[in-house]
Amino acid sequence: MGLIGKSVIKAGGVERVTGKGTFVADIKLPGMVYCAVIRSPVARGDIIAIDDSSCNRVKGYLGLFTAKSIPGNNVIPIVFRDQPCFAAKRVNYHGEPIGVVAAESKAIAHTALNRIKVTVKELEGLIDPLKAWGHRKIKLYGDDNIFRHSKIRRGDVESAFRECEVIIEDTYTTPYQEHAYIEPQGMVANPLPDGTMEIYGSMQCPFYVREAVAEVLALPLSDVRVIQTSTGGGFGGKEDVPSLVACQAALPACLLKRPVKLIYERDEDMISMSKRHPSWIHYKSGATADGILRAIQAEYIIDGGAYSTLSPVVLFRGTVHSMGPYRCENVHIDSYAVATNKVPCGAFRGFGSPQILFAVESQMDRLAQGLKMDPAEFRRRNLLKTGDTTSFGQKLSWSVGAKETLEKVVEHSGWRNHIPESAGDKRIGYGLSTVFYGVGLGAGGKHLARTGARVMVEPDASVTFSVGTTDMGQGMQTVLAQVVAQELGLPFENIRMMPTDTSRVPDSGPTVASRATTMSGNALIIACEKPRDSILTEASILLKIEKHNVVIDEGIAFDRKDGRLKVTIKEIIKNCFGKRMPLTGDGWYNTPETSWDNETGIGEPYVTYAWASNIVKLAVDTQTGEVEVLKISSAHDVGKAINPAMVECQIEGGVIQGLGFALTEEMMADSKGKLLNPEFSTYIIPTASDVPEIEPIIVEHPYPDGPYGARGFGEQPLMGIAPAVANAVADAVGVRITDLPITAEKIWRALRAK
Amino acid sequence: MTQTVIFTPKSLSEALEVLNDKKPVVLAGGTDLLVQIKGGGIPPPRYIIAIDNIKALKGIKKNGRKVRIGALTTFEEILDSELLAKFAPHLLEASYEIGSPQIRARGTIGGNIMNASPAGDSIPPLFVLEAHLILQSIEGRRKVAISQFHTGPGKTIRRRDELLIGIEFEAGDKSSRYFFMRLGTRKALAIAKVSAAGMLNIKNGHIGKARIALGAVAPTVVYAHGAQDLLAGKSLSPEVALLVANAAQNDCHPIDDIRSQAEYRQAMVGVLVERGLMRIMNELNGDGQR
Amino acid sequence: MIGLVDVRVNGVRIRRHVPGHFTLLRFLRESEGLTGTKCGCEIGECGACTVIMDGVAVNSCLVLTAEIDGSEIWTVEGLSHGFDLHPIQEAFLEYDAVHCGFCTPGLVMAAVALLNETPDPSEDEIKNFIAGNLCRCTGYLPIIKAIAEAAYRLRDVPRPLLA
Repeated sequence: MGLIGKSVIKAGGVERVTGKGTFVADIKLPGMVYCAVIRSPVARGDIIAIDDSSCNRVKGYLGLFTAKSIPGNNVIPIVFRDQPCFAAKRVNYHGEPIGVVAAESKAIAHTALNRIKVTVKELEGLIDPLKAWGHRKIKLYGDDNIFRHSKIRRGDVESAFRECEVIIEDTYTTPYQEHAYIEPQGMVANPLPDGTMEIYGSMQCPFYVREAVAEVLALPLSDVRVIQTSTGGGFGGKEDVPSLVACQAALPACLLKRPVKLIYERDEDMISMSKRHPSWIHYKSGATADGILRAIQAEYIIDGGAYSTLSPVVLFRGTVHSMGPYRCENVHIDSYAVATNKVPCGAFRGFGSPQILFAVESQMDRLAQGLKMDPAEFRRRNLLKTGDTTSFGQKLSWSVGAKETLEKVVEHSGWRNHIPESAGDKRIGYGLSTVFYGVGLGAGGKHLARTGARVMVEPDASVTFSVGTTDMGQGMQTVLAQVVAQELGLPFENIRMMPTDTSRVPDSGPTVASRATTMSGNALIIACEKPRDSILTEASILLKIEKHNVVIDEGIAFDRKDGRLKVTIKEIIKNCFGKRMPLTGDGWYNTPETSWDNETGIGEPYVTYAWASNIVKLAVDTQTGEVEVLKISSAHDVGKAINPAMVECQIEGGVIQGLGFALTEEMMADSKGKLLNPEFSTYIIPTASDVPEIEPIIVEHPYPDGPYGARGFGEQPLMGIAPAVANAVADAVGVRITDLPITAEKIWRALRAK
Repeated sequence: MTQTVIFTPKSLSEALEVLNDKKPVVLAGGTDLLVQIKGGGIPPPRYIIAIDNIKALKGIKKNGRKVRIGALTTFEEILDSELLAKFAPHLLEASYEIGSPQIRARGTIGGNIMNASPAGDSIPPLFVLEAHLILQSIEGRRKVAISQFHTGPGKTIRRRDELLIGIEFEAGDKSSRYFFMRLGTRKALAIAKVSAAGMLNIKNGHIGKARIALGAVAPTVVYAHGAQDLLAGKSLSPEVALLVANAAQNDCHPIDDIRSQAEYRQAMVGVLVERGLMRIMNELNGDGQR
Repeated sequence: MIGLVDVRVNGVRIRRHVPGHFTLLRFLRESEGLTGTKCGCEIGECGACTVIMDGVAVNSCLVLTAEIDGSEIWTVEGLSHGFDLHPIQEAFLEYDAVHCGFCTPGLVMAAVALLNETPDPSEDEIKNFIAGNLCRCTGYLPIIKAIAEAAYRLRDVPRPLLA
């Protein structure tokens, strides 16, 4: 099928490998100044004064900008509207922005920052979400400090548990995970003489940024233009918070009428930007002797931090995924997003599902063990298949490749033949997990579930196209160019994706939820219809054949019945332009309907699901508790792999990030809500020397509504690794760690307690 | 650091003049100092003396039985040194674990010693070599045993006009065996949670002198005196290794911090010492000795 | 405190007055406009600022301009000539080792330094040599493969790999 399924070499690679790609820190504009952010020194308090009088003597100091300076509304709109751009009186987390200083250079801005005197009256803050819940005195949100409560009520768990042969009940906890994108947050705000504002920066969602800047500066949306620069990693960490960063730069830019650059320091970024929600999960599940999962009852609490930001949607997704990829008739879930005086949490690859899936997949292994059944066999008996109905009542009419992913990892990893191995102090273990992921925004974001695209064929047969979604390294530029090349029959090399720019396409929603391939891919296919039709029409005239017999591929149009009868598409396009025929197209794609009842947890929350299985093989040093991961087999049903090499790369990258979540990554806060390890030296992510053998496996059960059958899956590779590691440790040394990360120390302690 | 005055002397005598005059902060490879200034742990100094280019502080030499390592020797240079591979193989093992190749290209052994972290990886190996540090000022030179040099985390007995110019130790002979063991949070770019270095003089299976030094389990690197005493005069065997390892646990006073907890650290001291001693034992067996 | 810096960058001699407390990273990016070298953490933990100084790979965020007088420095801009990519860069592209691209310049320079020192590195040697370069996108495997491939292609090329 031409370019689909072909591993073409990435677009945009040459700029990046030569260091010529423009990242926001590389931008230099005439008259550009620099700003630095003033932050709250306490987790909760009242601002008494911000005094910049000693800065006035600093040469090159340009002023202080706070909530009082805001022309529009002091709010960053996300789901609810509780987060201010700058704290006006009350501060609610350590590191919360309360203003910016601007200066002629970065050094002067930082000198000024050090001289600013911030007086805050410290108040008692709520740090532990379990204590914050329903706190009688301190109200951070509503009456009970709960941003949202979601439920699933299906069947009758009480009676179902009475039937169960094995019941496992335990508490699982997971910490903050920090995105640790290598490029720190940054924005350049450039005010134009006509009163409009341009924003350049590192981001996943230009339309969110546009909305926030327009609101804060009291500008119409048409007066704000946001252009994504080359973005050095996102993973969800550049979904909502860039709106905050952009406003921090845009406010002084607007008032000084000069371009302003703001690049975060690494520790500043780690302290103040969003993270994966820490979670506390109480999970009870049971199965009957025949190996069927009968009942699930769980309480899932996520620590939302000081403002709601994305917590309501993260909770929605976590709730939908709380029973795992299995059939279960009796499900009772209560999930809560709780407010605390800590940094607001948001999106991170998996978006609320990795935490609950850690519990789900640990439980599945423990149930299997209780039944004395092979964990793979136990899952086999319960995995959803095409035609099944989920616990929330959605019939899965097509493309459920879950079982195939399970069989593939079992086959490839040596699972079947594994017997207890040991070498000296080391014990080898294998651990399995099976996960699923609702692709797209789902019912939790349905009003955003639309995307625009535009395609323009140039007279020399090169093509530019624009979409509303962004490339942050995941390869969107390449995959979408393949789609356009395929639709127009042109060589891949001449197709260029323009930088994502809010002035080029209508509001297309965010690049999140693994939605970009499906959404932008489909929108592009629609956008290509008109130019494709013009090309086919002209080809049929030139070749003197019926239009339905024209085939276009890699720059040539030929007769389906006689391959020798052909003409170059370049010539066709030249003719089209000569005849004033249209060679541009606009596409608009809405997802099919989704639904979700927050009280009952019944609905069709996502249009389609991706499926994956992982097997981790590792060795545990029984003396030190250290884990060495030897091999990970990871199989993913992606519908259709438009670019197989890139799919494998996504799997590898996500698996390593998942390994970090499993073994070493933990952002810690002290009792006053201050983060203790906001640097790469103390927040430990995997390096090249930590990488095991990884075997990525692609499975394809086409999704009928996806471009060529594809559906997104970029988040999924991370999601099942932590429980697979926990299961492998249990297999190796017989201890069950229910608190991430699974450090050497925890294993050591558990071994001693045995 | 916009107000900081940076001196870049070309010779040792020039450097000593500046040290006497201005009492500056000393910058060698920058892999500790610049990080601390950036992080706010140290305020921007009034004066910095960048000693990177002083040739007298470089080089690894052996004179008779004395081996001298210039203070400005980088960890990469240590790894490349045949002399040190022969007479201080455990120092190479420690150097290999430090930071990353970029850090090792710039970081110096002098800087590691002066940074005075109880987790400093070069220090335990120097302890078991019973190395001496050579400090020089315009007033003259003195030698200090490494075990006397550090008084607490970040604290040494260097006078502000002195410069650490080299490290000296007496080369062992065929009967000298060494080990270095370490636990970090990941394989590279990780500060040690616990480290242990050891030196045994073994002749005909009997241990003569024994030194064991422990890192990251006390305010400074310390000798495991109890363990050392137990080793002297014994034959090396798995039972002895275990006994000594247990004794080593009592020779330290670890704390809880963001990397690790005290109880674990203490237990790991035992594991590392036992593994180090067993490794020496296996090497000797492999060499046909006992 | 301004000092005169006299260095060679990418084969070209530069003499410039620069504050001595500027890091080499800042000097390259701001004074010389060579923005290919990136800033990820400024404390030598991520390797995004890796350049080759006097033949070795260093974190340019931890070198002061006061210390570089007389040095020979190579950055990613010095690797390719016009549209011709260095074989290491080609290998990175072919093996899909470039995702968001932010860690790439540092990694490419680390690879050059490695292959100068060890023309035929094992997989473990590659992994250990790039352990000081953090990547969050690729999972490192394509990078390791790209470097191994580059080593093979450059096996007969005389060292050092930079002019």
